[in-house]
Amino acid sequence: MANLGLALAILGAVLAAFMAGIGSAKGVGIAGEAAAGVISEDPSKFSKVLILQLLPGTQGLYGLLTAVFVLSQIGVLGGKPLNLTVWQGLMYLAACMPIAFVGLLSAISQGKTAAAGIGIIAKKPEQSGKAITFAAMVETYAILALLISILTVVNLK
Amino acid sequence: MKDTAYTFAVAKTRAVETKLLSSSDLEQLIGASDYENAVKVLKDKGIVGEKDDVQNSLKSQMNETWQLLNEISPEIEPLEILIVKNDFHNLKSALKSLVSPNRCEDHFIVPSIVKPELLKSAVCNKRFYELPDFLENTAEKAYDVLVRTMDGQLADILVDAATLDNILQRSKKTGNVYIIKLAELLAVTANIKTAYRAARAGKDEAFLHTALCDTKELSKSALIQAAKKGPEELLAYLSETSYKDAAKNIRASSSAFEKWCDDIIMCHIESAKYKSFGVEPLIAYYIAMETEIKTLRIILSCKYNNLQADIIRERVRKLYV
Repeated sequence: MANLGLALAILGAVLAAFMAGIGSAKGVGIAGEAAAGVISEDPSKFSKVLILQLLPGTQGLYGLLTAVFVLSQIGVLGGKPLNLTVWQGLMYLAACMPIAFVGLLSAISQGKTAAAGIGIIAKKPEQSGKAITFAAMVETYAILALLISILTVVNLK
Repeated sequence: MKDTAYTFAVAKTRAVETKLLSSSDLEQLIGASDYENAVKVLKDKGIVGEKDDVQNSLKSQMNETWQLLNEISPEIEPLEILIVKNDFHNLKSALKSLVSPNRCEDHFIVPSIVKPELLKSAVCNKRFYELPDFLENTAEKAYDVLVRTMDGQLADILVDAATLDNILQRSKKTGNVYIIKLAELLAVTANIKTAYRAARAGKDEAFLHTALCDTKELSKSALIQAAKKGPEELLAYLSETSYKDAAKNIRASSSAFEKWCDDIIMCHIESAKYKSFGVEPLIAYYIAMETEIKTLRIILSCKYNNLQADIIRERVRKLYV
């Protein structure tokens, strides 16, 4: 049963990195398509659209960060995995869920918002600050989820 | 297809939309002292090449716009609703060339779904089976009517009604509310136009049945009944419907009505300005280009005939930008 607890904790770490990573890949992809559409017509807007394309990439980093914390806590990174009970394993798994799910969904939503913002830049480049603000608002919820995941992981014993 | 499949296409469209003319550009054109100066303004703005012929240049712009949409759109079927009318127009030209000495090539419009050369060869050699399904039956019927009656107008009416039916059918197939409403508006405005002309010419019920198409928002049978009684009765009927502005504009002048027809379409497509995904911005861009070119032609033609600025402004269409 000790191995099952460890496996559950590792599953949590994997899901945090995996789901938030998928979300970011999709979000950055959506924004990238929009950015390519604008750049194909007006390459001078590259720097402005690049910022918007990068925004949905942060969720993947949050997932990775959470995964590293978990793997470090359970000794996998140090090469000495702890003997965890099933209950402890489940707690690590649960702790990873906020960033796994919120990371996945918020990155996709942020990608769509960023793509819409790129549309603003295409027509009114002077309004790029507002376009970035709209996309950055989505980030708030990914940060909240990251906080909960990290706070839970570091406080688990 | 998911709306996000259009992300690249919409962004590219937003970028090219910046090249559309604004009201101040049109005002500059209207303010030009004569036709030559108006053409010079167009050349200065890069709308027409320095050494290009104005009419040819404007004509080729729609083809270029279509090619762009064809390149960037993940699927072309929902957009074909925009150019299918050109196929039916080309069919009419090809049919007429059978009974008149005119060269149909001079009247062909591009872009079209079917290549004009193929259409011409199919009609001239009576090989209608070479045409796609949506044209085959209409071509056969119109050809039959034309050679039997030698009545070009009757053949035209058949083709025009088939055009609207095809547009409505295609719109329903997309399942997109925006496209369905657009097709409905195109059909309703065409129906009002035809019904009014028929009422003024004293055409009978059978003619109206052939010429008009079924639309949701304006009952075909009620339109026929009103048109049968005469133009005033038709306008009185329209005044009681949601298309009362049509009656008001017809009463004002034919050019006011034509402008209203284009403006009502523009009012509908404008909602695409606020869509970041989906086919709607592409459709809106094509119609915006079409309206821009139509408006430029109107202004140039008015300038050519030395009409006053106020008269030109009355004819200028609502722009997308």
